[in-house]
Amino acid sequence: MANNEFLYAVAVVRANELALLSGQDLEQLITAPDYKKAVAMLTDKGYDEPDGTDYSAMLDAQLEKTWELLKTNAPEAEGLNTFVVKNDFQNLKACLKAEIADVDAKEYLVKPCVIEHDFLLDCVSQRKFDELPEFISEAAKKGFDTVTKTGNGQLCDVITDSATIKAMQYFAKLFGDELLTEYADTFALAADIKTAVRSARTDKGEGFIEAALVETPYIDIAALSQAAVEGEQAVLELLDESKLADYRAALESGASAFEKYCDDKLLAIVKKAKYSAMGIGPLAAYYIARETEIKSLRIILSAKISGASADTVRERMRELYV
Amino acid sequence: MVSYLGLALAIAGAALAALLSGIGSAKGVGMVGQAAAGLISEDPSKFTKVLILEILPGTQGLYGFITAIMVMIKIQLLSGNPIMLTPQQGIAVFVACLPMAIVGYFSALHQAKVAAAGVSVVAKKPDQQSKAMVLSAMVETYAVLALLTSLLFILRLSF
Repeated sequence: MANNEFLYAVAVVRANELALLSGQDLEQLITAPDYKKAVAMLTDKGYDEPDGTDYSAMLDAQLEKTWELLKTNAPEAEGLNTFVVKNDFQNLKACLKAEIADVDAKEYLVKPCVIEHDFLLDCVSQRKFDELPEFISEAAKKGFDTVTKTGNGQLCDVITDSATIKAMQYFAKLFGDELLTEYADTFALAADIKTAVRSARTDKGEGFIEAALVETPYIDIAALSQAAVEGEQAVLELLDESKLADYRAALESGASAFEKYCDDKLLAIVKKAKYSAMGIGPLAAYYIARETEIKSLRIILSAKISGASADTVRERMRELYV
Repeated sequence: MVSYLGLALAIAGAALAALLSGIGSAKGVGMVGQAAAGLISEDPSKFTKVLILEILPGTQGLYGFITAIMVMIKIQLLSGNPIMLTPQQGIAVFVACLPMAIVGYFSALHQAKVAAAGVSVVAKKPDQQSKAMVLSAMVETYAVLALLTSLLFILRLSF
């Protein structure tokens, strides 16, 4: 696709970037005296009014608005699905588990996503997995068989989680944009490291680990799988050998530090598009910027309700795009 | 027998200058127009600021047109009684038009990219519009140089 395809959409995004929260805005929110004041500041910045202390819907709505803006102005930018396809797999998991538990999955489904909720619900309830798009149909079939035949929800999660990352890589490669590919591969690396460490801690077998890991150019998956079988120390050593010592350092700082490090790393990738006037990069960057902003807001608002200290919140703040 | 080859080559050179520069400008103005429309859809008050940026890649088309007119005057085509040029003279006029034709095309496209980036500047910092214009106008320098080169060649040719 020609690099100047999204001139219109990029200009729309640039105008909307003005509404993204800055570091100063987040600092004001962190130091706001209470939850009500923080919410009032957010509504001034264009967020909807939350329903009492349930701020989730307000934040979800903002992310959905961002997605709608991108899809309206660049409907042909299929590469953007790289960023929301994880929600489709989240929805698939909810549908599969709801089928087994015989409950209505609708209230557990999230947006933005690629597949319409009603269509997904219909396909799962009618077992019409072949009618689902190619990137999800195989995982849906496998996940359903696993959960119905073995009742093993964890294995079903492993299948859908690895399929999620493969789908992200699929959309990134389908669009052929370097930034999207780098993002998807870096996302896969973070997920693989998390899986390897978690598997090492819980003594998972090699078969389980191999099924959970996803190919990424940054690390040898076979070696990572082997290291995970050997133990956490072997995983950490492999990270050093693979020139990923920065990930090791983040891991050693704790789970939330690692999550923050991975998010910051992903944001650094999309930040490369900060000064581009065309192409899909700025559109992707805008979505990730909003997603990151919302992650930070969740931490701030939850701290306001629980009464966590400002310093604790600051430690967990993600890098911002603006 | 009268040979029209020289005259045809001169006309082809003039046409090429107008064509390539015109195509470059049309593409360039279109590109900046798309970016400008995107911004206006969010903030219509910035129309005047982006209009100036949109116009910038349009000048190459005008320069190509001036080159073509100069050739027409030189070979007295407008009078309806053109000079019968030798093939060598025709080639000379054709080559004289190339700087404007080629530089006009490419500079229009590159200027459009800078101007489209300028639209992003206007979107985020409207008070910095003049800087965005200056950056885009820098590309214009080479279109102006190409125009001067072509015109000097054409004017210095003697038939």
